[in-house]
Amino acid sequence: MTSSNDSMIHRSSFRDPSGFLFETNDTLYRQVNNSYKSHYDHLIGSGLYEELVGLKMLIPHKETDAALAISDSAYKILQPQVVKFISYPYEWCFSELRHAALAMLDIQKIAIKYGMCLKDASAYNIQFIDGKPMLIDTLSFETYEEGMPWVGYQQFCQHFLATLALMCHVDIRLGQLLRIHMDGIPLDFASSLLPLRTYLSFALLTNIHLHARSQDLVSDKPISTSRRTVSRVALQGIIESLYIAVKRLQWRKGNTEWSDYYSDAKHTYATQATSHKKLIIQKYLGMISPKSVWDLGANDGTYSRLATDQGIPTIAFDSDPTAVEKNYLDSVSREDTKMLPLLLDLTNPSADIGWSNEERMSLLSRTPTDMVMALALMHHLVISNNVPFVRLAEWLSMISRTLIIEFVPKNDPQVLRLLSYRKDIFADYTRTSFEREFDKWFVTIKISKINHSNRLLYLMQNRSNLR
Amino acid sequence: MGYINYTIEMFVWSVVFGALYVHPVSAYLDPGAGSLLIQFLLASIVGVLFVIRKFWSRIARFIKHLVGSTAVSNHNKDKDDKNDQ
Repeated sequence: MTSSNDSMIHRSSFRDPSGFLFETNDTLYRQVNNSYKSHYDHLIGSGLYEELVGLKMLIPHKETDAALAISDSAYKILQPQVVKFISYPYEWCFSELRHAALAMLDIQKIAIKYGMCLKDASAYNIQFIDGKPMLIDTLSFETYEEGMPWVGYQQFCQHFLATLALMCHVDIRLGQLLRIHMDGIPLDFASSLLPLRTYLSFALLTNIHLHARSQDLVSDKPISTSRRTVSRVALQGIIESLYIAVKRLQWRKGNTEWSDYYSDAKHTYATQATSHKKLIIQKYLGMISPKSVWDLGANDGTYSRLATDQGIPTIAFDSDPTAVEKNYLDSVSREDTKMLPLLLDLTNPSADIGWSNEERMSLLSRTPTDMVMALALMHHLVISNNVPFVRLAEWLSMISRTLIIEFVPKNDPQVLRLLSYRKDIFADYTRTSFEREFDKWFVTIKISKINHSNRLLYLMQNRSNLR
Repeated sequence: MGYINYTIEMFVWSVVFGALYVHPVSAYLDPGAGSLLIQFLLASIVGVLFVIRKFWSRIARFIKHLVGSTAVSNHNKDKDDKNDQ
């Protein structure tokens, strides 16, 4: 047994007594407790683990040295495949959440065939790995007993169905409610927000509206259940009906400010400028060969794709749900396994939240990345959001080892457009000022002018050695 | 109408039984008493639908066979009637 001084139990891994995640010497392990022995043995012995891993639906692991255990209750120590970047449901677009929901139900359907059942249905247990939603909690299964209801049913409805229904039937931005409601959107809340027409959908009527009413009905009674059971066939029926319900939830694409950015004539560069910009970015990527790229303000991922085309895992962040949705669906159809489109408001990035502010990591806690691309971004942050160059440079230096940043001068049509509705209080918005402030944090490796525009592309190296 | 009454009746009985019996589900996650009740309700509806869906091809074949054999027997009956004339 390792000393607890050498190991650190993962701060978000405390709810399930079946086991927990911990780190020893920068390696991630999962301890399986004795209390979970029979379930773990069933998972492995029945062939369920092998099938799910083969289908890339469950994170693979290898059993490792039991001496690494950090408590007496250990049955096995597993070393799971490391997930390079943990993303959260409130950072996913509609289709990412929908695909995650379908993956969860697919896993449940397969598990039932092997005599097991998912004991929870937390959206946080799903991660996008190589473009596919995958279950990362190996201890989510329990041996199925005939007649047992699905314990994770409420969680599934709160995390997935209610959120998707609200995004689909009310407003796509309601997915952000998951930031406040960490265990999913309360069903009475979802029911009150959903339009009356959703009562005509059998799935939404029963799984959300009646479900919410039944919770109200028994809220003041002692926690008890009837001796009535849910037969295996009925359980399969419930899973199937949820699957059909999720499949039917389709979001009709709306036009937001950014979704048509590249097709809108007033925003587009000359074709030659776009081609030249792409060439410069490709050259910079080749010079650095980063292991990971974050494209901030990526829109539909046009430029992020330059990195994924070189086989570099790339996260394309944008604040517009339509743009992220478009990027995700394009990436799925292209089978681009290196792309992970995520929703992020750079002016208010994801914070540390959950129990003791340690369950879900802030964006900053998930840094650094090898390279950040900040293309056609700075004028939106500096002019639209009044972020001074010095603060922008400082923040970028905290999250990235190298940087490709596009300087958009004040005489650029885009900057002129932003300034046309407001007083110009940005006397410092100059190339000299930009270079002076960024020079405090970065060394400039190369500057290239984009043909047919006044814009400049900088390749920079962080002055500090970020770990 | 009978179907709606049956659904309401099932729901009411689920609530009544839920209040009467104590049989805790052993799980680290609180399944929620209301969620269990709605599952019992759903179980009685979608379970039947699931079976129908699963065996739909067989049921369809059976009905087809039934209708087909009726049609054949009617056809034969017509033929017999004609022969009799």
